[in-house]
Amino acid sequence: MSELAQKAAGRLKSALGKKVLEILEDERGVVVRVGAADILAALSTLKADGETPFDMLSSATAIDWLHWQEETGLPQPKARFSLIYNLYSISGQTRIFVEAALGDGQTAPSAVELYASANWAEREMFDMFGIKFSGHPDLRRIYLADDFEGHPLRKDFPRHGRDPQDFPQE
Amino acid sequence: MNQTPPGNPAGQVSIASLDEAVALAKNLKEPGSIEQFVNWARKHSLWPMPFGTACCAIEFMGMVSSTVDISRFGAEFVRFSPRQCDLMIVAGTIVSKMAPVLRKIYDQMAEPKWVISMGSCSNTGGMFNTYSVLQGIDRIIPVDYYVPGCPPRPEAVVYAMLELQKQIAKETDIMKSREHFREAWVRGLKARGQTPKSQILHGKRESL
Repeated sequence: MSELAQKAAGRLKSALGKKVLEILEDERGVVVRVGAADILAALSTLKADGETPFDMLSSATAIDWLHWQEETGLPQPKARFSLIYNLYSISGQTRIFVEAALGDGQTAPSAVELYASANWAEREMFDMFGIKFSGHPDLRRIYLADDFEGHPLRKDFPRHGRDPQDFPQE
Repeated sequence: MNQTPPGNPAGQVSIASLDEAVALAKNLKEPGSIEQFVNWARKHSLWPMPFGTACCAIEFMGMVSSTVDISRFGAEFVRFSPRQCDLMIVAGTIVSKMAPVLRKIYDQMAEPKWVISMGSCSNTGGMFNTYSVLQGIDRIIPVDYYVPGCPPRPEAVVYAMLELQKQIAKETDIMKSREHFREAWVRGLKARGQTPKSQILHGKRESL
């Protein structure tokens, strides 16, 4: 299965050149690393791929790398966040991951124009991580209440929430 | 099987609660008997309003179905409109986004009304000791009975209902809509160093 994705990644590399920073294969499958500004270029190229068009965005999520080195001893990524797009090719029955590093406070381009399913995925990322997407038609919280303060999947968010009445400080 | 209850002539069915009512009705001129009669009627016609948000609601179904069957105790009709109910059974996790909805539905119920909190989540937040879950529904509504368990067995909730019936039978101020109970609830919260979520009480949202 991963040969198809590897070939697609190779075609992406030849189409975008230096914009593709790295192609690797890990337990997830084939991962393509691009810069945050080139997310849309990578996604649209993969979606329009001639042999294995990645026509479905099955999920898009983010990782907060704050305190990563202190907690794991592994090297600390330079940027605070990673955006991860999980693409699936229905005809090729294979997956590919697009990863982009994103600094704190940086705005990412919205993929809603390409994939309709990116709408809610990006709203979730905004809700949980506070990542803003430019060009998103309706960027507001999706799970939490509209007046919720903070973004709970950021590593600096207090685990218990903020109300000392409900959660006495340890 | 042709069993007759002891002390009854064959073929005659004794309904203990009905006998109680007949005895009460005979003494209506005595002081306090009107209250007793009204309490009798109320406690035997508790209509539950299921506020099921999680797995406790599945156990609640067990309460209503034939094995346990709360209709034996007068809670015959499970209504999904708060305006037709007087016993709210909160069965499940209440997340903070749901809290204003719970409060609103409680406010929509007609007086007199009672609340049973079913299961750990609605009692204290349970295992969801986290930012998104309300740590006990008694932060926003007064609760009459807490049923522990995760989830509690249907029998446990029936026990709470029977205890509640005993409590209703003791009610003396039948016209005052149990205002004293809500006042005691606010006093209890203050004793724990908490305050009721004031804006939730007035139907406006506030972060919980």
